[in-house]
Amino acid sequence: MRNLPLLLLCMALVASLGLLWQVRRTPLAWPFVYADALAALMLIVLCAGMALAYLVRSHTVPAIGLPGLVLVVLAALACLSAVPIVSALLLLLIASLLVAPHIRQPAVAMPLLLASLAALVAALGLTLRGILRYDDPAAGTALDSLVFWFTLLAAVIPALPLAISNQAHAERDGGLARLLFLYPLVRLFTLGPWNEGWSLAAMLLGGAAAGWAALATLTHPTAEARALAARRFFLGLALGALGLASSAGVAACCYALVTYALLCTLPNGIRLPNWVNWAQAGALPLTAPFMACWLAVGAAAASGASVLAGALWLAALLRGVALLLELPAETDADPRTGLPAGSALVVSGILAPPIVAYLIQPAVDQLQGGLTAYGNLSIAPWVGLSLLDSGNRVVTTAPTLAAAGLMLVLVALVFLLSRLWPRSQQPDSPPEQVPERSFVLAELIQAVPWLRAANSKKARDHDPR
Amino acid sequence: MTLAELLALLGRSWSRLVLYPGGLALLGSLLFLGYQTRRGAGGRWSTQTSGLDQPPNLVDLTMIAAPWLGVALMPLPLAASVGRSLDVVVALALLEWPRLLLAIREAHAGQVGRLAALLNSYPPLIGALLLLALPGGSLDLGSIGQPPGTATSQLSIAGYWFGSLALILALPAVLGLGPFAHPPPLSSAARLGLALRASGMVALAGVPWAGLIPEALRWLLPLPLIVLLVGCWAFNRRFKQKAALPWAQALLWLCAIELTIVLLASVEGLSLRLR
Repeated sequence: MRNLPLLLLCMALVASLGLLWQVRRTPLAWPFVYADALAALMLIVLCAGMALAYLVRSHTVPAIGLPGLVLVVLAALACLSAVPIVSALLLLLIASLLVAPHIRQPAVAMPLLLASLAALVAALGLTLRGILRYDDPAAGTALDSLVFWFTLLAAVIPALPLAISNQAHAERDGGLARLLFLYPLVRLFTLGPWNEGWSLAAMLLGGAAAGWAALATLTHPTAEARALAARRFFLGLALGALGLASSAGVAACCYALVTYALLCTLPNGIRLPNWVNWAQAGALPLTAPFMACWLAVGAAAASGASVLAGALWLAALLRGVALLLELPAETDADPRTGLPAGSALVVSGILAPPIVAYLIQPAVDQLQGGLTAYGNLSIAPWVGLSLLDSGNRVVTTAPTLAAAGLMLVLVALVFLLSRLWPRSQQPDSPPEQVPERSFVLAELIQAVPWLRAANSKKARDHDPR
Repeated sequence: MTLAELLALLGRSWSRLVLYPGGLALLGSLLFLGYQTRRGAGGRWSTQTSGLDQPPNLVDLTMIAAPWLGVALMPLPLAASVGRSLDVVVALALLEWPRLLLAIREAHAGQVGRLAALLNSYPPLIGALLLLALPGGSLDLGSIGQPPGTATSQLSIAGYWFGSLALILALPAVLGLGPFAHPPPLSSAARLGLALRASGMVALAGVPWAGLIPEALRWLLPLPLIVLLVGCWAFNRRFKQKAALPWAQALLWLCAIELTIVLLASVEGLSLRLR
């Protein structure tokens, strides 16, 4: 009975996959239920993340118990509800459950409560305009700036690395439930298209949130908060990609949420093996974090948002470098720690084309009514992914499976060649004492002007005077 | 695309991997390292052979394999077609792998010079690549190698050539030359990986200029690469003992100009879309 939660989570995952298969062409519309591919995808991501978190942390932190199962049930009801106000109330209930143990810590409790209240105000706005269902044919007429801004606010707040020092210990689920707060914003595409100003606002806020999270991953003084910021980066990335309001942008957003869920399963405050750190840094292609950043950069370039593409690219690199600086020189980590999550990050990266084709593409297809033509997907499940612009020209190409095959061939070739070469006569350098991370960071900030500028701004913001 | 086509693609790639451009870059890198070792340019590293350290672990193997793959898949002139191209994001990640790995290892030992050069080089490098992508609207390597046509806006054409120039100006920081120079690494695998990476980066900087050479003068195709290599060598000799910080600040200004042009081009594109 000890593994009953895992069994139930796996059953929920299978049910969500079955639901996606059932609704992949036509959504189900019942009196109080609207089940489409987007709702099924959110449930798959949540259930898979919860199940993986259970596997990773079962021997360290009893994170997934009854509260985790209740959370999944509430999330399922929120995602499958056809009524916006019911969905928003369930989101408020989820936020209340998450923050209940920390109600005396406003820094922990306030952001999620504020976000869910903003979602509730937006849903109230829709209801007051007579829209009682997401699939109401007249719902597009009710989508105005008030509804959009409050929904955007609900999505932005959980993505920001606000007060992460306090939240690091509080988020026992690793912050997995935060991805649910992006759902109302994605759902707005069911109602109708966004105007250019809304898109620009979502892009700006998403890019800023991702950049802030990347900088916090490098400069925050506590390791647990840095890990939290490194995950939160993908919520900002998802929001920025969603602002592009294109097929490629929504696909990038959904893949970023998948990556966020996988990263949330990594245990906080436990030293991980080097290869898991490399996988979560996303420095090498063929890992999920890299593919998520690649998709977002490509989607931005396909939409003509070159500045956003550059900002996300640089932020992703900064985040990767910041995470790699955490690596110990001589790791004493248990190689089994984080094995399921690390493997999932690598497998999800290599199998990105089929994941996008079979899990994400149905959701993108069903949201087409609200999307622009500035960025499309071209998926060759056996080779890789390409992103196309409005003229169907290839903007980015990542031959993930082909590259994985060629990489294997080259690694084998280098290994064979290495046996033919003469051996090195010089012994390795003696192990040196590992300096403090703060010392390395201070030296780095002195030597990199743009990092110094960004950090001095942050230091001024935190000045108690 | 089917599994059979994937296998066909892998099969067609052999000439790129072992002949041109991958094999040629590997051979050039090995010759360069051999010359450097004989000349004793590496100071206390000069006694080390150019062979790979034993036993090779997976990370050391990927330090060579990743930039090798990056160079092999670059759509350089006269390279065999494999049907699929590569974009600059993936190419840069593959090429940068050995430098990143090495910079992080050195940072853990308290030496941040290489990591600082890496972080100083990324903003102008990314800006230059975005400028190169402006006329074609594509980050595909094949697209950025083609000079802009007459139908492209004046701003995009100006941005393209400024990006080509900025890419060359960012090369010292990218390759670790002159004020950004560092001692060569102890590991021979890392040195070979860095040499492969350098050949890929120089090829990337030379691609826009190679597009200017007319069909009738194809024998001049290596000229941009030769000019760049000579320029890099001269820069390294002239500025080796200089401080890196003023150069890093200059690169930041270069990035600001790149960003301004990208922003202006984005606004121009948006206004066209809204019209």
